[in-house]
Amino acid sequence: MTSKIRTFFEDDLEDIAPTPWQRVLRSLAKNRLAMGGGVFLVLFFALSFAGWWGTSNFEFLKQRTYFSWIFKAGLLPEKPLFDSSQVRLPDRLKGPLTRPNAETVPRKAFPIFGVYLFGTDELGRDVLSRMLEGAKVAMAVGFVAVGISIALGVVLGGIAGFYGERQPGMAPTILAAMGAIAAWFIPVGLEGWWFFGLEIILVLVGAATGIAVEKVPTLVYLEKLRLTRVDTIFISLVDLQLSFPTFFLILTVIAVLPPSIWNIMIVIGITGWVGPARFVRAEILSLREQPFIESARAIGANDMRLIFLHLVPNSMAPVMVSATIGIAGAILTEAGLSFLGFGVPPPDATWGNILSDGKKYLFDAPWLTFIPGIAILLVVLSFNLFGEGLRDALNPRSKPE
Amino acid sequence: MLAFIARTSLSKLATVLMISVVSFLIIHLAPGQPSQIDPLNPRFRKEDIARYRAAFDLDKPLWKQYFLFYKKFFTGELKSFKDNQPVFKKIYERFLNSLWLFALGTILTWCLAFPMGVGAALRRGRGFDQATTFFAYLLISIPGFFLSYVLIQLIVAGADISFLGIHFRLPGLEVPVLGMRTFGREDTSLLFQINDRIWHLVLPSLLGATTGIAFLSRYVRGQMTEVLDSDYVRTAHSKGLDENTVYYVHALRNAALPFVTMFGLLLPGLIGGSVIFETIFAWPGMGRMAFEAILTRDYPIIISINFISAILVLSGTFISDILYVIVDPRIRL
Repeated sequence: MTSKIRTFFEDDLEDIAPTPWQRVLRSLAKNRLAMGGGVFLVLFFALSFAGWWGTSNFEFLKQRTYFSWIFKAGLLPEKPLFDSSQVRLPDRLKGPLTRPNAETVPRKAFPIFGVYLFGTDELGRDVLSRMLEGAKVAMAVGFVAVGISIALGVVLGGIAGFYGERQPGMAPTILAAMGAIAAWFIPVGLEGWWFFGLEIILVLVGAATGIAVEKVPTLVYLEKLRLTRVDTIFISLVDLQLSFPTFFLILTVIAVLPPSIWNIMIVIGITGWVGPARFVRAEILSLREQPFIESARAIGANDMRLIFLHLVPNSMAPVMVSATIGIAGAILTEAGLSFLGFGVPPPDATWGNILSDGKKYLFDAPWLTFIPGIAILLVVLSFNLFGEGLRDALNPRSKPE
Repeated sequence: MLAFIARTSLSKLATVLMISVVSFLIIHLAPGQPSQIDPLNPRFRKEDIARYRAAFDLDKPLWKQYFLFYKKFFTGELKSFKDNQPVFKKIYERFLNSLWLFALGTILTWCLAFPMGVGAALRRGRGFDQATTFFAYLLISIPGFFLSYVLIQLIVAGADISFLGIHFRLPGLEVPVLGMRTFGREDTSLLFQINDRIWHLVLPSLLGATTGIAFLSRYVRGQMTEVLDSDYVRTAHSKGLDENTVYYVHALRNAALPFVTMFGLLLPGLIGGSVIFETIFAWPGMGRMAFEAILTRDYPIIISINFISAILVLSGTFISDILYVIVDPRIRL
């Protein structure tokens, strides 16, 4: 009886005032393009996890004897289900849905289901397995790179939004200068020890100007030009990042660094901080005048607590949108790098690699170009559509139905 | 106004300094020193290492290297590692070639994106709007290199389509698309050469413009819908002005204001994208030179292209900032 009454009231309430999340979900469910993108994304996640499971060798488990029961019990296959590095020279460039040549290819080198669903490449490797491995790499690159961009963007945007009008005083100046020291030492290494003295002088000069600009009344004209405000510094950092043609900058850095998938993720991530940072900053500018911040301050919350526990979590909605679209961009950038030969190093297969290797056989083996190309297109498109749908749904100005 | 220009140019100047530092430091990201790169490469001789050390004054402290490098850069003494030609001359030649693509790409972007965006805003929620929306997302999402190969295949060679038993031959145009001009036809008539150049230009500039078209058309649509919802447009409607005047004289003028700033924002995409498209289409421009320089580790060229293109973009945004203030009197300084 009671439960019935409760459901009655809940239904009633739901109709009167949907919670913000319900509103977002409803508005998202009405957007057919976004829902299509979302469904495809779920499929892509499932595929990339299947790819991780099916193409992995589980080397880290095999090295430990106390995990051997997993393989004995058949919970994990001894050899990967989809072997992406199995070379079958007699079966080079076979079309999709063809069977392996039983006379020349040994039985144990057969692909799963005994058929090349997506054909083979110029070394006779199964394209389906390589695509699955590529799905894993694409998802890893997308998520790790965007995670890095968001972490950077939240810190920079949060600080810029909260301290916007301030002239940096002693503490931020020293912090910034220490960041500069770190940034110089990473490339120079410890050989640059002599640089340390110069940096200390710079820190002292910077701190002194910081204090002087805040305290000395005769320097007020500097304040009027707003040259040393946190906002000005933030904007010139954004300017700096946006001036470089991003793809070329990433290409240069990747070419100079030793080839590794981690470097690619980190470099794509570091160059992508502008979007999240701007969104966080814009949100915080409007949020920081709200009563809940005032009350938190009245209880005695310090600035860092206000920024990262109160303001940033409340400004996450647009960041999620920019993250969704950022993942699409990261996947495209990685594919472009792989295409030019600077992507994830072999033996890891990526979609860009498959396409780049296959372009020589555009006329004889078009599936090597079209399968990865369409896969990239579909995944990036669904990330973009879902992100845009999310943006519309989260936008308070969009009309409630 | 003057104070605004002074303030902006001062902060842009600081940005230029940072750009110079970042471009220079990129090559020092390499583990060890730039001269130790790729010691296993058999073509990497003792003389090369000596050349690297001389070019970057590697025996001197880092800040001295930085100043010496930019002194050489600005006095024009900087030489390419590959052929000992002055860097400025090489980049300038290639820049002139790229200018064709930039110019046509920009024109295509603006001429296609504006009608698309305005049309979509006027038919909000209807078929045309949904179609252009989806088309814009398709353009943003398609990997440019994939699209280039598909288009080369379709336009040059055509395709045999067989679907459900129906065979259909899509004829290829069999026009030359790779490079800047057809090789060995330098002595033909002017008309032929112009035609030839146009065919070589169309595909790479269109492909370079795809992302710009998609972004700009979405942006135009957003601006236009916002203006169409405003009070003064409703007033104009209600006082009986005909639709075209309201849309194209009253609404579009206000909606088009922010696009002054887009000139600066679309430039980095054009330059960055040119690396891929100029490589695919063998167009002897800046992007392809950058890619070749990266392959041969021609550091002076790499640093200079990064630096110069960043400066180009920065001055583009600076000019559009000022234009924006001049065009829109509501902006208070």
